Amino acid sequence: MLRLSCFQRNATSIPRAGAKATPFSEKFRAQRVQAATRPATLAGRVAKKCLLLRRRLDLAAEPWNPYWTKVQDSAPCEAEILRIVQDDNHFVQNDGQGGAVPHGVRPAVRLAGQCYNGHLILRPLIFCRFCLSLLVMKEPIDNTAVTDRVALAGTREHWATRIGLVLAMAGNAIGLGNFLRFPAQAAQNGGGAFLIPYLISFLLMGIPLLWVEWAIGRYGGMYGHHSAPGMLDKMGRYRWLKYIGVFGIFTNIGIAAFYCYVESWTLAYAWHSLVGTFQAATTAAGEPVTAQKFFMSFTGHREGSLFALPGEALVFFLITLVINVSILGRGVSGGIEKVARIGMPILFLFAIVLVIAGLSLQPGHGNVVESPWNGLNFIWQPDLSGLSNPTIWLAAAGQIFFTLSVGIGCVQAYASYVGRRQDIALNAMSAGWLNAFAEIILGGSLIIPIATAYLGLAMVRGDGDISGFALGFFTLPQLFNNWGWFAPIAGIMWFGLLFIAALTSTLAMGQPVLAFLEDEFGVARKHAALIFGTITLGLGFFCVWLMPGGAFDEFDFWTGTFALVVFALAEIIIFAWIFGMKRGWEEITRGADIAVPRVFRFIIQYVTPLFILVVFIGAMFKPEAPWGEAISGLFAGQGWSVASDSVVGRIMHKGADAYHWFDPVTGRGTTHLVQDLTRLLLSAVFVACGVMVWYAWRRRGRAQS
Amino acid sequence: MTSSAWIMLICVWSIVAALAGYFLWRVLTTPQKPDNESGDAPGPADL
Repeated sequence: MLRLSCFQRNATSIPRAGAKATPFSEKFRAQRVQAATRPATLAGRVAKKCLLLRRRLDLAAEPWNPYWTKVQDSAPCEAEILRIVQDDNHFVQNDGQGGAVPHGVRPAVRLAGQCYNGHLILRPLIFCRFCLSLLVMKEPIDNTAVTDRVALAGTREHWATRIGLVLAMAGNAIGLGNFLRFPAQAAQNGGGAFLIPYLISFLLMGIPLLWVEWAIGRYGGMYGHHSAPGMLDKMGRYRWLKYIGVFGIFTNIGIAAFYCYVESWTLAYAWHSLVGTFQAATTAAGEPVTAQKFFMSFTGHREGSLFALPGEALVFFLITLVINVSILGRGVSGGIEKVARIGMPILFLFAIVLVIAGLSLQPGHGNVVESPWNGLNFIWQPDLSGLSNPTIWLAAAGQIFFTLSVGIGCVQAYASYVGRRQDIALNAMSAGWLNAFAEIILGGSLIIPIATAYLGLAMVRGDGDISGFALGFFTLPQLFNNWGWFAPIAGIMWFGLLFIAALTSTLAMGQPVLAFLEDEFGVARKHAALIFGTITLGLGFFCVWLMPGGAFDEFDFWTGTFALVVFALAEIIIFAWIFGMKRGWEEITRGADIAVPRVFRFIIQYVTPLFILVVFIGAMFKPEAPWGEAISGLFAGQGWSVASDSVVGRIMHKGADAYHWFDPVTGRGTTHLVQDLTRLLLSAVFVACGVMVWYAWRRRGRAQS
Repeated sequence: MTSSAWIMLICVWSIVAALAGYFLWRVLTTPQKPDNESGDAPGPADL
């Protein structure tokens, strides 16, 4: 161990006025004077070189840099230097004579002094190790001086209130899936028994991922990065880490494109509920009005056509985009937080009113044919035999992914505006359980009980393939007509709550993209919001135009289903295994307002990655037959036939009659052409995001040099 | 509703509602720490 006394050999004691005397500061000042006054010797020049190099790299000012941890683990004498460097970073911000000393210079001088003043034998060793470490070290990316970052920290955006942050996070998680997807999934996968794998997945995968994403976000925010590439780049020494973060941009852009379109439907439906479109018995042409027909006409679907250019839907799409862009342009606390603080209580209020109204329907009154409680019974009746079915476990795990909005990059972006010492553990739990409340209690008690009351359970159940989307958009607007004067209000409440749920989610998708443009390219926030709106309009128009051909489904599958599992798997491996669980656990628990159970350290490191890996493999190779049969068939030598909705099945266009881009008879394009074009477009978007990340870091490198 | 459905519903609803309520109450009643522990201007350790 390099003794501190050897540093003091040539030290001159210079007291620091007005500050508590600290041995390190005294020694440091002596080193500094020494480094400045004795450059004539070879060793002095070497020390000066070290100083200049250190200042350029700005590394010494980052005691939390992974590089230093490595040093600390590997070399005791350098660990001593590390300690000094860290101490210096905690020192006063003036030089004791009223002048400011830029952070980074102080430890750099000290380090240079170590090389010069160290033990005769250790001195060259330290210096060699130092030079070697500079060669193998990760590229220095942060060209912002620490003093600048101190200034930035005072002016950077932040959440105005804690409840605002939690509601914004809950709003990010609560989306259309809570009210449309969850009830259908629960009813199709064992009813009440579905909740057992659901809650287990929530505990083993959902909560750990939430904590990990919050921790990554807050950690990245400390370095001024508010989007995934910059955050992941800071998690380790590898240059490729930032390219994993491309998923955190690409997924948001891709999902926002089609999700904004669906969001615009809810706005349009709320409007049509207000003006009484669904209450009219017949159209102007004398045809009976059904919500399904309305939907087809609204979205421009025509029999046999791959294209659609619906005027009204495009107008509402534009209105929705303008709303999103204007809110995003107002900033984190001025826009997103305000919307969450106003919108989320309204969402819960609307949902509670509709649940009470729906469950209080009585058979025999009006057109009610069956008790809504039978619908609730249908969802909650536990079929425990299904617990041994892997399909149900995969469905439950998949639902957790969709509902919590993990693996997208939104949670990290929001968490990056949380202060370094502020709590994330309690906030994450609160947002996560609020989402579970909205999904299980409110979402599960809305569409199926109301539909059961008016249509009967047999019709709702149908052939077993329940579509929450069809019930929400086709059935409910029609059924609300039975509620008399309350019908338009119920319609506005239903589609209003869906609109708020979707809006708070699309705002969360916009934030990482805006932050990326702001942080890495210096784009002003309002301009960044406009760029995001333009990209979403372009990709969204592609979805609208080719929706009948299957472009919408392709966007949904590759960005909203596949990419988020890949990203979640990558980020938890990076967090637990590259960043390191020791530091990761410190990040999660720093400033925590609840005691985080220590068992989660083990879960995050081993169980969650394994869990996601199983989900990933399950999605890749989902068999055509039930899992049990498929596995036994595989061992019996019958091979493995993937399902058409598996990732491999999708890639291979499995289930299609014949694969060709143009119909051999009519010569017109087929859905395969649209699907492949959409995949090409999405691949191009992904590559473009990757190129932007590469270019942003290249710019940084140039700025530094 | 059948008794098993009732049991399932009551168990899950009570767990979810209790936990959501408890954590929300904790958020509402626990003051957020300042960005910097001492409340001063943030230093390098706060970045």
